[in-house]
Amino acid sequence: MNIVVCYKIVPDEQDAVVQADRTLSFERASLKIGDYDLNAVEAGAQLAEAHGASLVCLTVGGDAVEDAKLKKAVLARGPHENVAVRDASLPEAGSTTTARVLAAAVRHLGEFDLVLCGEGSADRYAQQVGVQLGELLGVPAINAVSAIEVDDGVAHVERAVGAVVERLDVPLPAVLSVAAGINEPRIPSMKDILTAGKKPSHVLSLADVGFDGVDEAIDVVSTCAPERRERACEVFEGDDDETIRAFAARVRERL
Amino acid sequence: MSDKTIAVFADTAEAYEGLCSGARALGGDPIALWAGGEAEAKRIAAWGARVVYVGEIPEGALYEDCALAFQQVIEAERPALVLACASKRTQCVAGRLAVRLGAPVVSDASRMALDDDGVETARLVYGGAAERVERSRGMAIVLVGSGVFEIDEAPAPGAVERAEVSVEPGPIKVVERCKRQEETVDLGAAKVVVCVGRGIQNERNVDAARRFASRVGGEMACTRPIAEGEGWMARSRYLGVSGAVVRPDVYVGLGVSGQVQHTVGMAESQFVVAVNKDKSAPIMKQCDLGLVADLEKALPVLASL
Ligand SMILES: Cc1cc2nc3c(=O)[nH]c(=O)nc-3n(C[C@H](O)[C@H](O)[C@H](O)COP(=O)(O)OP(=O)(O)OC[C@H]3O[C@@H](n4cnc5c(N)ncnc54)[C@H](O)[C@@H]3O)c2cc1C
Ligand SMILES: Nc1ncnc2c1ncn2[C@@H]1O[C@H](COP(=O)(O)O)[C@@H](O)[C@H]1O
Repeated sequence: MNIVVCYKIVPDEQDAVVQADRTLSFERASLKIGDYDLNAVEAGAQLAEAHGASLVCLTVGGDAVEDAKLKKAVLARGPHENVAVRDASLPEAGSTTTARVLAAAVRHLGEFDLVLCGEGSADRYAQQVGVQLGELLGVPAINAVSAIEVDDGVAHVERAVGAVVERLDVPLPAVLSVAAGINEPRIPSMKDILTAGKKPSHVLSLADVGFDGVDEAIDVVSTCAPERRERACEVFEGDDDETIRAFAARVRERL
Repeated sequence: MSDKTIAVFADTAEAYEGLCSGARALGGDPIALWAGGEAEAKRIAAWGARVVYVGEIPEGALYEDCALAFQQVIEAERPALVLACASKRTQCVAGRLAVRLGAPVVSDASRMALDDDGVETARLVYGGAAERVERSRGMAIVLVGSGVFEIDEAPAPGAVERAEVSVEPGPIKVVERCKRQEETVDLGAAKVVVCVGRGIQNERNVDAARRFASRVGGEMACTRPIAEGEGWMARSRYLGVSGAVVRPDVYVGLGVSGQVQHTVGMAESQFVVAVNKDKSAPIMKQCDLGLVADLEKALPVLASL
């Protein structure tokens, strides 16, 4: 069985600096693997371990896809091989382009049984790429997957939508977007990280995967930090009774 | 009346009231695409939309299987915009339609304007650290949360038309479907919100926070990991970019770090109180009144307030 898991590398929004014109600067931001993509990686790792399947992790993006630390971080979490499609245009790509490049890359990798995506990317959180990828590959796709068992060419999945839990049979190959609560991503050990450094990793271009562009019929007009309310920030410090009581008294004034 | 039509769809009938109002507010005529019960089709028509009804969802099929039927209706009607009420199910339908129609999807738009060239939308990105305004060239599929549109006074009811196409079961089979036993709360009206984060540490402390909340007439809320990871509270109680948004008079955060994905859900509170043992937790810069202390010490005092 061949499993592909898609993850996105994004600048950490906690390091974003709001400029005078309210745009964000990520110049000094550290990079991270999308929080919810780690759940997809973990789900893939568990399935690969249970079924002796091959697990490739796939990302498309800019120069960040070559970050050695992140490459190790993702490979230390179970995948056997890392594949990245790199192009300067990709960090700003919307769902349409991203899904199409991923589809081209998955086809380039060869036969697959299962493609896993996260609930949403950490920066855009459009929750679209997984479904669109499935449609582009011409295979069934479903989101909000909270449990997966694979058996004889079928994924038996659980899915929570609103107040309903569904059990579905999804014929493979398929694309599944997993819910954030599906698992607790592992914390890799030192040994995992060391072995990760020896695992294969490839960087491909758009031409390598045979992607020749798509018109994404939407343009970004602006991206600005919202106005924040001014806060008084009156902060008490200390675990002693007196401080806590003084604080509690101030809270009571407000209630 | 305008000459623009706006196709709307949702996986529950109730959502159409807001969608039809929204379509009119954008200067269009709503055409409601509906897959489900026939009685509901009539209810939807009463909100002033022409309803194009693609029939019931067949046994063993998913609501999501309506995508192909909706595609044909949209291709025939050529609306200026497709509006849908955001849910896990409509996300799936929108994604499939996007590929089939070559149209972009905008998820969780908070406001929008429509003109002859396309739609301009605003949505949060970077977990809520920024708002992105985008403009489509031509028809787009826009997903909105409930409450984005104000309900207007509906004009005369529309007609219900049975579409030529029906919902065909897709490759995914529904084996079982059961109700989840989880409360759903609306925190919108709460004057006081007591919100617990991971720093609350255990359910015993959650109970202490609950006692505090009930003494001060507040509603309980939480951060996403408390609902999704720990499962100590219902999902409808977590605040933030992917959860609920509240605007209470007083918000009290107990063991909440204050990351942007969460603070988007409480930033409009009148007065923000925070207890955190870490003085450099981001919430300490976003509160009116803060206490840097261990909750083990602070909770008993608050609970007896
Ligand atoms: C795309 C995306 C969407 C998201 N959407 C949401 C959302 O809608 N809502 C949401 O809440 N989160 C959301 N998150 C998660 C968010 O990024 C944070 O991870 C989350 O809000 C942190 O929750 P927390 O404050 O409970 O936990 P933590 O960040 O772990 O903070 C716990 C805090 O408790 C303090 N603490 C620990 N022990 C004690 C003690 N004994 N006494 C006092 N203080 C203590 C710590 O100092 C710390 O500041 C989202 C993330 C992503 C990537
Ligand atoms: N640039 C990317 N590279 C690889 N996978 C991605 C990329 N963008 C999105 N994905 C995958 O698609 C999921 C949904 O992304 P989105 O639709 O942007 O919220 C993510 O959780 C990832 O698994």
